Amino acid sequence: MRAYIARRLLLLVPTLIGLSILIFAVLQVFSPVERAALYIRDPKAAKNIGAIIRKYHLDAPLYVQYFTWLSEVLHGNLGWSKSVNMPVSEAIKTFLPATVELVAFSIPLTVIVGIYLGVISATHKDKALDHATRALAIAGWSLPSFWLGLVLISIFYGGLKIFPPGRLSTEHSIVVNSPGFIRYTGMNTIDALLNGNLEIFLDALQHLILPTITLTTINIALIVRIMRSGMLESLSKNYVLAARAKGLPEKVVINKHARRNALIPVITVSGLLTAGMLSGVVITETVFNYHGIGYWAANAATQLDIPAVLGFAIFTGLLFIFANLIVDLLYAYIDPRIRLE
Amino acid sequence: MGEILKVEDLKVRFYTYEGIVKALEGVNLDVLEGETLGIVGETGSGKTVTSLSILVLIPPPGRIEEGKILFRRGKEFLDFLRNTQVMYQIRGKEISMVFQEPNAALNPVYTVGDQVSEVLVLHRRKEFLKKTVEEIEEELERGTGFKKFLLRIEKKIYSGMLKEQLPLALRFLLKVPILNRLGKSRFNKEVRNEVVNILREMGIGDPERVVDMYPHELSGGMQQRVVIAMALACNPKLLIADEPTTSLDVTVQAQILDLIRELKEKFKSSIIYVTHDMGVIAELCDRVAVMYAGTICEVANVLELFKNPLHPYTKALLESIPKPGKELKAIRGTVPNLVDPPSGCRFHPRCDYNMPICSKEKPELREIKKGHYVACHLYKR
Repeated sequence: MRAYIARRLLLLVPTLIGLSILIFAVLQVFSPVERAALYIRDPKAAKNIGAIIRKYHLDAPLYVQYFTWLSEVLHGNLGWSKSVNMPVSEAIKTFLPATVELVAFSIPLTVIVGIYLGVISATHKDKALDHATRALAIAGWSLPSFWLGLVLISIFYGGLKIFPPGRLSTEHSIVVNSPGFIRYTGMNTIDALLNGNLEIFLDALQHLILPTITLTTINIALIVRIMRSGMLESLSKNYVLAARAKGLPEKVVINKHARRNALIPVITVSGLLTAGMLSGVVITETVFNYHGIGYWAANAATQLDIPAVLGFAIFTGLLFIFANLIVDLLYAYIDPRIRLE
Repeated sequence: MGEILKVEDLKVRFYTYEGIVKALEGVNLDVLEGETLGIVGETGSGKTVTSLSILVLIPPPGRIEEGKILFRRGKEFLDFLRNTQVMYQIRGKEISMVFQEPNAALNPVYTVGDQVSEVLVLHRRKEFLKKTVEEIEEELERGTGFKKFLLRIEKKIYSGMLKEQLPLALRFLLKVPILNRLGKSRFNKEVRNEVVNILREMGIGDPERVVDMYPHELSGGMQQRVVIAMALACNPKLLIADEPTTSLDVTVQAQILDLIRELKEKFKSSIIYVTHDMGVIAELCDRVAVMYAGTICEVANVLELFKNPLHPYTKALLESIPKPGKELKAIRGTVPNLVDPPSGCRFHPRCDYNMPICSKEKPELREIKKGHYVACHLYKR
């Protein structure tokens, strides 16, 4: 196991280098002057462009440029995002926690409920429960997220006056942004708990419910279907028959012997789903006026905020690389055959 | 010697898209105490379905439509087709099964030890708990001070588990994975030792290492030994071996056969040995049942069957064993499709002695000589 982890970690190095080269190559589309403009905060400072070109070696040979750029990136200097008027790294730090918070609620719900429904669906194959589960899951998958989001808002906020959009109610967001409230993580629920403010915690939770329901409804079909087919496959295997022949109760046969073997494809998809969600659930965030990273990136793209888009690309790349790493480590944990390859 | 298992008029159907597969059509079988009964037949003759039916393990879309499976317990026969409770007690404990392909019968994601101990914990839990309590009592006599205090707590837990009167709080605490491992470490050690012993009995060298290995790290022969270990972990009264050597190479086959023979001597259990290999039958079995297309066509003592086969199919089957210097005789025709099986005797389209009655009436299994049963219109008395 340890050797496997070490090997997998070593593989990170070439992948990361590859990612950096790819993004640097995209940058080369622009002329040195345009690239210098990425670092300019104030349009009035444009006359200093020569100085910036010299500072970042933008007219030097490629390899010099690459290493200067890389060292700037590693120091967190990704340029200036004019759409939100702050450095790109600062913008990621501001908008990411909101998305992380949303994903932290949606993914466990999606995956756990999805696995549970998938197992039920497989063990009741071709019976009413199976058909109902699959029909509901597919219905959720087919719903456009903006439509589902709007319907949920109009029912629960417009009609019932609970579960408002946004991240916090106005009075609470004033408290949160006041100096007395320490922002440990940027995630409202966790910060509220750390600050001992239960009221804000409940308020943040209320705001999270609708987007979480939207994301779960839309993505759960994926997990249900994959879990179902995995379970059907492993239930037909001889080791399940052998487990039954041992006299094990059906519950143990399904939950121990069949389920673990069916989990591997679910892990792959869950990993990718998590990374995909973290790198922007633009529509859901926009519908619920929930200012996360997807909201920022989409805005930046429409306003031709190139440093922001590039910074976002680096961030997304890293995200997928690490999601894959975690997926691979989980594989090895679940399936011993992978560990020893 | 009485019967230990009686299968009466078993009918199994598979409901597939191509139609209803009539896999078993009125199978009758008796297994005597301590004997080895061979079931022989071509692929698709219903050998495996018969053996799976005995444990009520027919996978969907298959269904046992009719018949009784009677297993003797003490003096009475229990029909566990109609009594699921009894079935769960008998499976794995009194009747166990060895499967065709060992690498498919072992779960790839659990260690050998995990899979063998599962049977032990399921069926012999009390025995191990008792042993653990005794061990603690022994240590209590020697222990002093704080250690004695800890041992007392441990004893309380184990005797509580033994009487199944553990306080609710403790039962809940033992559900937590880490506490479970800590609280039951002594019990788990006891079980593990027994697993090692069983593996050693199965002729596995270095069992302490093998316990912690995963199935894919073992060779086919070793895997089959592990599967046999799982089957024999509770000293079953009846072992069903479904072609246990078919997927192994010849030298390993011989080793596994030797092992089965040895274990039969030792445990005195009855064995149903399913195979298509007449050689193995001759070597291992006391009695043989010959199956064709979901029916039993002949049952006899091994020597009797080889010397004096009565059913035309048995004759043909014995002639099709390759012998040096002789031309190989194959049975003409092919195995019928069981969605639409031949009427009357299912063998009649391929039979050399075909008579008009054969396609009209299904022959019953009748005793022609003492202990020699045959289902064929040729021997009507």
